Amino acid sequence: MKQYSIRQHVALLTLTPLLFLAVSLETFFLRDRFSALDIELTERGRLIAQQLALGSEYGVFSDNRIFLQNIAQGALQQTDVQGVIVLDASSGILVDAGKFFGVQQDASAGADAAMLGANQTRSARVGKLKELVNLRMPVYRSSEALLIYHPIVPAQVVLEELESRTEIRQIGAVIVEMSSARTGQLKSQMFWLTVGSTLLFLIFPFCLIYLASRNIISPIHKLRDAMLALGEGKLETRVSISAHVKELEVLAYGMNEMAEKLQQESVTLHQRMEDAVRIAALAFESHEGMMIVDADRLIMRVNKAFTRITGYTEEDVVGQSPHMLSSGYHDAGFYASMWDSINATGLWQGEIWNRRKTGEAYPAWANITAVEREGGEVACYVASYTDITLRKAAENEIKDMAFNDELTRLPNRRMLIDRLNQTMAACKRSGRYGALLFIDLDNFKPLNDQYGHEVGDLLLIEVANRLISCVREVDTVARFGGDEFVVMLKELDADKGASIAQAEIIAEKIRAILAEPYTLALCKDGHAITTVTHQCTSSIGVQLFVGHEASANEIIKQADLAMYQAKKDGRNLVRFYG
Amino acid sequence: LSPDVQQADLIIAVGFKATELAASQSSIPVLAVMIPKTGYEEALAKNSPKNSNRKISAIYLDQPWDRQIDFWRAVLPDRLRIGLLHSSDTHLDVALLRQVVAQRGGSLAAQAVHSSAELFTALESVLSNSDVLLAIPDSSIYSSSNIRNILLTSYRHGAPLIGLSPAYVNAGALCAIFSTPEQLAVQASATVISFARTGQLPGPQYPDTYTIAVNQQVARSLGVKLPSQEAIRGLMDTTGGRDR
Repeated sequence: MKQYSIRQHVALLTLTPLLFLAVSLETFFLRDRFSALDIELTERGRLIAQQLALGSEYGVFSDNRIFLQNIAQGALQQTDVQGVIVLDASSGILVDAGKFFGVQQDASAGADAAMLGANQTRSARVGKLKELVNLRMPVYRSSEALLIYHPIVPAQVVLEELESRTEIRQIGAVIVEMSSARTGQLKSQMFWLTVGSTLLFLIFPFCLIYLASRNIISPIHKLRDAMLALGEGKLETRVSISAHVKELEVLAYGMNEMAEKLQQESVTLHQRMEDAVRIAALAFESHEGMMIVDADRLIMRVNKAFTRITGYTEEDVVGQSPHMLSSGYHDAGFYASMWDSINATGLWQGEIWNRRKTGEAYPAWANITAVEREGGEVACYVASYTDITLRKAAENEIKDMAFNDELTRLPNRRMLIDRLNQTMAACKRSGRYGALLFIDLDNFKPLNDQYGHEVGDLLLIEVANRLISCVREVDTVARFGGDEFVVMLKELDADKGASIAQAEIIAEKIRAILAEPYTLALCKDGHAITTVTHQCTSSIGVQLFVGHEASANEIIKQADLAMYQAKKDGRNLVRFYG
Repeated sequence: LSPDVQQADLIIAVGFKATELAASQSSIPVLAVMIPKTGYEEALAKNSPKNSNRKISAIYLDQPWDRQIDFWRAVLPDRLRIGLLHSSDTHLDVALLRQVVAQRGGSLAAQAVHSSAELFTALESVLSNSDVLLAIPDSSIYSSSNIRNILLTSYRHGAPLIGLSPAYVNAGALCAIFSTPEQLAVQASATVISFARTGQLPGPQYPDTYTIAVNQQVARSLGVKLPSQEAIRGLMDTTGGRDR
């Protein structure tokens, strides 16, 4: 639907009836005047025709053409008369004078053939004209001319009172042709004059409406501008209008009130928002690395702690996918389950390995929360990371201390038992034998007593290294404290005899390598002071196992018993249990 | 005719039509008045075959020729050529009239008019041979419609018209000799009284008394010097006294 401004409405409402009125009045007036002009022309024509008929009577009676011609010329002097025809009783043309419409004027009736032709056309035309009117239809109106017929009857002079009233005989007729040109011109003038004056008349109310509507519209425009300004957030906008229209003033007052309230609330809101932002910023800048990812999973923001942890600045990562941080340690399933959890519960937390800008992978404790808008749509995700490299290291150290020998870094008894259990389970599945070698150094104590614990420790470390060199990687070398070591061999053979043979070979190899001399550098303040060469044999007890026929401790104990047997038999020996 | 009229002893018919009616519709004696001699004779001619001896008479409206001639001589002694127009069917003894005029030293140019279309031509023809036009009671020529044109034409020729009634004079005739209705009524009443006494009607008669009317304005226009009415009457009495 087409929309109009108030001014157009006002103009429409006021000007339309005015225009209608003006046009109606004008039409009425013009019609009235036009018909009056037409009537006037007809009446004048009739009067002229009547006068002419009276004047022509004697001329027609006496057939005096010159006389009639003179009378006709006289009539032609009258305004608007352009042609005169005088007819006799039998409608024969006695005289025709003037310029009939559509008939050429032959002022000088020349005798030449051309003029004769013109005369003929003229008389033919005049002959037609006289057919158009008669006694019964005395007026013929065409667009250009008016033909008026008037009979010529003798003027009656009563001679005898008793004379019988004989009918008055018509002795001829006059036809006067009146030109409508001047009337047309008058009409035209009148029309334009009326239209002009109407327009002038309309200008006045138009100006009045313009001025009046401006009184309404300029305040409305002010109100509109103010409203738009308010809409744009310029809450300090106030509108002051000096309208004579009460409603508009009320409206302006209302608008100012509203703006005032809005402004106040806006200030409060701003303060609250600033507080919230400040709090958020403070919270954001915690010691934890924080990353905000938008709903499309692109990084929006990171904090300083993030930069400290990852090495990436905000500029490096904003707009990137968090994938850039991934270490590659986790498979796709890990991330899928992570996102599943976020999508389902809005939360995920766990340990995750990421990679720093330097390329170093590090473990982090991540806490990812989906921030939802009202309606459940995800606005963004907030991820906080704690670098747990150090914690992880400490944990490992503790674990290490629990399961490994502090000196040699070899698994301790607990770990060995653990592995032994695992290996026993594996042997049961495969059906292949394993073997446990219990090793005790034969003369370790004198070394310790002579050179101190440091040298003793060096020896133990060397023993550990030599033991590791003798076995496969799958095998385990453990220290049971003091000078006791245990070696566990996995997956020997399905046949017991073959397994014993293999275990014996390895045991013999160990016994031989441990019997070789040790060169031990005695260090003081980091500098080698003395070098001690020491020889030290070992006694080795061996027990085979293939399943859970005995417990781990029992197997260890049996190997230990075999080792005591070796000691008893003279040391530097290998003995099998049983 | 109404029963009242049927029982009357005498019908006085005024005008031609009344005369014609009375003569044809009853056998009661009729006295026609205000009827020209020609009209009376016409009406009489229509009824004469069956009622040849019926009692009918008239007092004419028009003046006797002698009186008119006397009047002409008295008013226009210098204008000797008389013009006369008459319808072809008018019972007018032109030859006799010509003779009378000639006796008084004038001449008569008479022209018969057969149709109204010929009127102007006839008028022109007559007027070109005369210097005074004498009107006669001929309604087809001297009609209300024609009189103006006749007067205009005669005026153009400088020939005055001698009319038949004051209406002529008013319309532009130079003069007229006529009897007024009062004069005629006096004569008619005398005839009625005579009829009542004798049961006899006199023969048709011209009016006994007359009136003269002149139009001084026309006289001035035509350059005619008119004698006073008394002088005219005097002259008529002396010249035409013998007729009386």
